[in-house]
Amino acid sequence: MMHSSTMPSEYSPEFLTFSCDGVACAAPLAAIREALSSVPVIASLPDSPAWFLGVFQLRTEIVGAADMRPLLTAYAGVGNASSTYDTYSALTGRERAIVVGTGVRSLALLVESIGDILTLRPHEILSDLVEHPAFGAIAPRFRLGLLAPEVHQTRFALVALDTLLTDTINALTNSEVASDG
Amino acid sequence: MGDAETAARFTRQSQALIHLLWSALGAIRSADTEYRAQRSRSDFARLASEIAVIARSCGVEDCASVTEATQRAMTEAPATPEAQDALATVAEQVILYLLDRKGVIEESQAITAPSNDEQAALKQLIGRLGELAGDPPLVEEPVADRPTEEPAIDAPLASPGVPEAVSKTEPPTLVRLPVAAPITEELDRIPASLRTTFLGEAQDLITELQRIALELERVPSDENLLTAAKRIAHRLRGSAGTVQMRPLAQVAFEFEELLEALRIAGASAGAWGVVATLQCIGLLQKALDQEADAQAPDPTLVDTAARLRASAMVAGGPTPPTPVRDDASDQSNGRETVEPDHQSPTDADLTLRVDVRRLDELMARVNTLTINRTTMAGARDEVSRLQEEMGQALSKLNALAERLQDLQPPRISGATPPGAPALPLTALAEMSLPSRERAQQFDDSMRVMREAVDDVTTLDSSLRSVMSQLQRIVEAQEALMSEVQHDVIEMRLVPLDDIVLTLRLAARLLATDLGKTIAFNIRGETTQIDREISDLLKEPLLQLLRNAITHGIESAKERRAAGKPEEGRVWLDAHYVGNEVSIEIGDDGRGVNLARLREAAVKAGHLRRDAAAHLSSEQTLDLMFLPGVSTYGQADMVGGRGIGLDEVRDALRRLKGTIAVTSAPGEGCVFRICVPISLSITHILHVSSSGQGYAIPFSFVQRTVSLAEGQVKPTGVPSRPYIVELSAPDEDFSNSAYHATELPAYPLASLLGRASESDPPQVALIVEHRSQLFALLVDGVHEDRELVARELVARALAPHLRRKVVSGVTTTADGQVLLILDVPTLLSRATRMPLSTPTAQRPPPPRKPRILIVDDSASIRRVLQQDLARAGFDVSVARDGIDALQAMVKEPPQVVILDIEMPRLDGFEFLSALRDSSEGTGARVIMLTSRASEKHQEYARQLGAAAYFVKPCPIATLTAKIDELLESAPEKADTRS
Repeated sequence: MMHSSTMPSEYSPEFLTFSCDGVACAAPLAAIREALSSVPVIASLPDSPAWFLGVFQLRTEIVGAADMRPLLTAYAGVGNASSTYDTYSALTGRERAIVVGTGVRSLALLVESIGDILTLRPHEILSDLVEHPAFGAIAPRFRLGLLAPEVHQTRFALVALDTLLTDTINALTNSEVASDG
Repeated sequence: MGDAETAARFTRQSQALIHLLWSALGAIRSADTEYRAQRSRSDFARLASEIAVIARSCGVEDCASVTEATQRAMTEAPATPEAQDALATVAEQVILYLLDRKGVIEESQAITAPSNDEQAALKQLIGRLGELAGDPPLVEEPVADRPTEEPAIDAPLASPGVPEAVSKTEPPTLVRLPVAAPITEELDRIPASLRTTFLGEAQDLITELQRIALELERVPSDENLLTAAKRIAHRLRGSAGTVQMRPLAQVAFEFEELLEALRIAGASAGAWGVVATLQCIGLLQKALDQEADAQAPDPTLVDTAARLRASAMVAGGPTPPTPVRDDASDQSNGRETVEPDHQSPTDADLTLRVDVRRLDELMARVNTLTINRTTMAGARDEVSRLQEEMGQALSKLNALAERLQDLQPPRISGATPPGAPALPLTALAEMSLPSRERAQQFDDSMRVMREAVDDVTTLDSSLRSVMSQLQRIVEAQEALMSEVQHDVIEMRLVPLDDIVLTLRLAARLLATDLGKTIAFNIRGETTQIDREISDLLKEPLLQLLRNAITHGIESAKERRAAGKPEEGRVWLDAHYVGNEVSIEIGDDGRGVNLARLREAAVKAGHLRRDAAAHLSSEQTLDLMFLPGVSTYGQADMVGGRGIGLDEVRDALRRLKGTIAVTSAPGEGCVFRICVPISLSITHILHVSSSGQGYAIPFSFVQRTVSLAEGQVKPTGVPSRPYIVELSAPDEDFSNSAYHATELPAYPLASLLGRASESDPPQVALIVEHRSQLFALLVDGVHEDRELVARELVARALAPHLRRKVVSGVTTTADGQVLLILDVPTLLSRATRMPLSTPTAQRPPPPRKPRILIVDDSASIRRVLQQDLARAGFDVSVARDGIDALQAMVKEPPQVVILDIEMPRLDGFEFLSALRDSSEGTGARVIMLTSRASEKHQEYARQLGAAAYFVKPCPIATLTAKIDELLESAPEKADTRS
C-alpha cells in the first residue's frame, strides 16, 4: 500500500536512519522535526495506554512521549493488530527520541538508537517494495518501502511516520474517553 | 522647509516605523489564534497609518498611498488563514518598497519620484491590497485609454522620457485608486471599536440605573435619585443616538420622560413609579442586548416604554412637553446637542476600558516571567556555588605559590620576592651559567605566577562585589515582579455587586410573580472575583436563587401552618476562603424531599430502586446534580427558564469550582459554591508520589500530616482501602463540622493507576471534598512547595494530552513537568469506584542509569557531566569524598567515577569508607585520575575500584566501561535505581 503524503523520493532525498525493535528503519528527514540524543525526565500521564510514557518539556512546549516499538509493530493496538506489549521491560532508559509533527500534533517517539542521515538517489528507494525480511515485525500499515543504499549493506525499512502519528494521536485522544467509559 | 530638510525629516521619522513593521509582520506570520491575528494586523495597520501621515506631510505621495492601502487591507481583509497569509506576503513587499524608497530619498536628499519600476510595483501592490480589502480586482488599462480628467496613479510618470524635475514639481495624483472608501460612506459607517466601547459603557450606565432603582425602592420619589437617573438616561440616549442604536435611544428617551413625570408627580407616584422604573430599565437592557447580539430590533420595546411613560403622565401630573417621536432619530444623526454631564471628573471617571483578552495576554507574559524567575533563582544559586568553588581553587593556588616559594633557590636579583634568601656574590659567581639561567627562569616564573594569583584574587573580589550587587538587583526585581503579578490579577477582579444587583432584581420580580413575600439578605457583595469567573457565575447563581424562591420558599399559607414567619428568608453570603471565594445561597423553606429525589433519580434511570434505598442523605442530595432529575413538576415552568442543576455543576467545574448542598426537611436548603478568585494563578503543593512530582492546588489542601508508623491502616474495603488516624482530636477541625479523627485515605499513586514506590507513605494531605475530609497519601512534600502554576496551561495542552484528572501543568526550576491534579475528579473516582488492584497497575518507567562523578575540578565535572548525560545517563556530581558520601545516601548511583586527590576526603578514603559501609550500595567505582603509577592502581583495586583510567580518557572508553559494569552489576545496584 502506498502512502503518497510521505513518498520521499521526489521532494526529499535525505533520510534519517534509526533502529526500532531491532529493525533498521528510516524516515524522510523532512518528516522529523528534531532528534533527541537523550530523553528528558518524563512525567507519566494518568489514564494513558501502556505504550504512552507521559509528557516532558521540550523548550517551551509540553510534548508527549510514546514508545515507538509497540506502535510500529502494532502491538499497542494502534493500527490494525491488537495485543499487549510489555513496554517497560523492553525499555532501558537510554533510548533516543525523534520528535514528529508540529504544534498540537507533536509527539516524541522513543527509538533504540539514531543513525546517520542518508542522501539517496531515486533508484536506491524501493517504494513499491513492502514485503521483505528487512521489515521485521513492522505492521504493513506503516511500511512505505525499502531503502537500499548502494554504499551500505543494510536495508532500511521506510516508515510512514505521519500515518503512525495520526494513529497514535487518535488512540491517545480516545484513551481518555475509554478510561472514563 | 527645503527639499533636503523634508527628505531628512521623512527618512528620520519613517525609519523606526518601517523597522517596526518587520516585527509586526513577524507577529502576523506567527499568529496562532484569531485574536492574535487580528491584533497583529491592527498593530501593522496602526504603524502603516502613522507612516502614511508622515509620508503625506512630506509629500512622499506614493509611500502615503501604499501605506494607506495597507492600513485598509489590514483592517478590512477577512479573518481567514488564506487572507492572513496573503496579507503577510503583500505586507512584506510593502516594507521592501518603503525601505527602497526611503533609501533613495535618503541618498538623494530630496523627495524624488518613484522610478518606473517602482511605480509598476506600487501599482501592483496597491491593487493587491485593494483586492484583499474586498475591492474588485483592478483591470489593467492601457495608459492611452484612461480619461485625461481622471489621471491614474502613474499617469504623469508612466510616459518614458518625462524628466524627473517635472515629476518632482508636480507630484503624481494618487487619490483615484480605490484606496479609501467614499467620504459619505465613511461617515455612515460606525467603527466596530466604537460600537464595542459604547456597548460596555451602556451596560455600565444601565447597571447604575438598576442601582438607583433599588435605592428608589427604599426611598420612593426621592428627587435626587430621580434626577440622577434622568441624567443617566439622557446620557444613554445621546450616546445611543450617536452610534445609531435607535431603538435603544428611543427607549432611553421614553424613560427620561417617565422619570420626569415621576419627579413631577412626587410622592403620589409611589410604588407604581418604582415598578415602572424597573420595567423600563428592563426594556433598556433588552434593547442593549439586542444590539450586542446584532438581533433585529424589537419594536414592542419602544411601544411598551411609551405606554409606561404615558401611564406615568396620566397618573403623575401635568402633561410634559409633547415629545417628538423623531427626536431620537434626530439625535441619531448626531445633530442633537446632548447636555454636557455637569459632574466634574472624579478619579472614578479616569478609567480606561481595556479588552479582557489583552489583560489575559499580559497575564500570560507575567506568568512566563514568574516561571523564569524560578529558573533564574536556580541559576543564581549555581553561580554562588561556583563562586565558593572558585574561592577554594584560589586558596589552593595560593597554597601552591607559598610552597613553591619555599622551594625557591636563593635569589639572584632584586626582582625576586622579598624574604627569599640572598646569595653571596661569590657563590653566585661560582654557579655555572646554565644553573644561573635556570635560577633566573624560576625567578621570573615565580614572579609571573604571583602576579597571576594576585590578579585572580582581585578578580574574585570584584566578581563577588558585582555578584552581591546583582543579587540585590535581582531581589528587588523579584519583589517588583510579585507586585506586577499581583496588580495584573487585581486588574481583572471585580466586586460581586454586579452579580448581586442582577440577583436582587431577579428575586424581586420572581417573588412578585409568585406572590411570595421574601427578604433577600446579602452579605459580602464587595468580595472581589475574576471578571471571567464573575461573568460565568451569574447564570448558576441565578438558577440557585430561582430554585430557592420557586421551590424552596413555601407559600404564605404553608409557612403559617408550619409556624414560620410569612416572610421567607433567602440569603447570599460571600467571603474569601484562602485563594477562593465561597458563596452560600440558602433559604429557610421546605427543604429537599429526599424520598421524592430518590424516586426522581430512579425514574430518570440513574440508579435502581433497591440501590436508591441504601443511599445516605448526603448521597441522595448529590442526586439532584444528575441530568434530568427534578422533584418539581409544574413549578419547573419558572425554574425551567434557566439551566438545570447538572449544568450548574458543570459550569462550576469549568471554573475549577465546586458545589455542595445541605438540606433539612422543613428548615431549608443551602448551596455552597467555591470558586477560585482568579483562574490565572494557582498556588500549589509540590508533592511526590511513586517517584513522580505532582502539583496539588493549595486551596484543596486543609493541612499536611507527616505520618508515623502505624498511622495508616488498611481496611480491606476496595472502595475505602485505608484509614488514617489523626493523633488527637484536632484543634484545627474542632470548630468545623469535622470532628473525625479517622479519615478515609487513598494513596495518590493508586488513584493515578501507578504503583507506590514508598511503603508506607510519608505524608497525608487532608483534603475536603463534598463536605467530607479525605487523606491523600503521598511519598513526600517538596521544599519548593509554593510554585506558581503556569496560567491555564491545561488549555494549551494538546487535545490528545488532556486528562480529566489533570487540570494543567507547570514546570519546576529544573524543567521537570508537574501535572496539576484535579482533586475533585480524583476524589470522585476514589469514592465511586473500587481501585484497581496493584498487580494490574502499570510499573513506573525505568530510570536512566545513575552515575556520580566525584572530582574537585569543576571543569572535569562539567565536561564529564555533559558527555555522560548526552550518552543517556542520569548524572550527578560531587566535589569531594564527603559530598559524594552524602550524595550516595540521597540517590544511590550505579556507577561512581572517582578522582583521587580531593580536599576533605580523597578518593582512597572514599573507597575505604564505601568498603567499610555496613549497608553497601552496590555502586561500582571507576577511578579517573591523573595518578598513573602502578602503585596507585594496585591500591585502588585493593580498595574495591572496578576500573582505573588515567586522565585524559576518551569518553567512548569511559562509557564502554560503564556499560560493561552495568551489565555485570549485581542485582542490588539495579533494584536501587
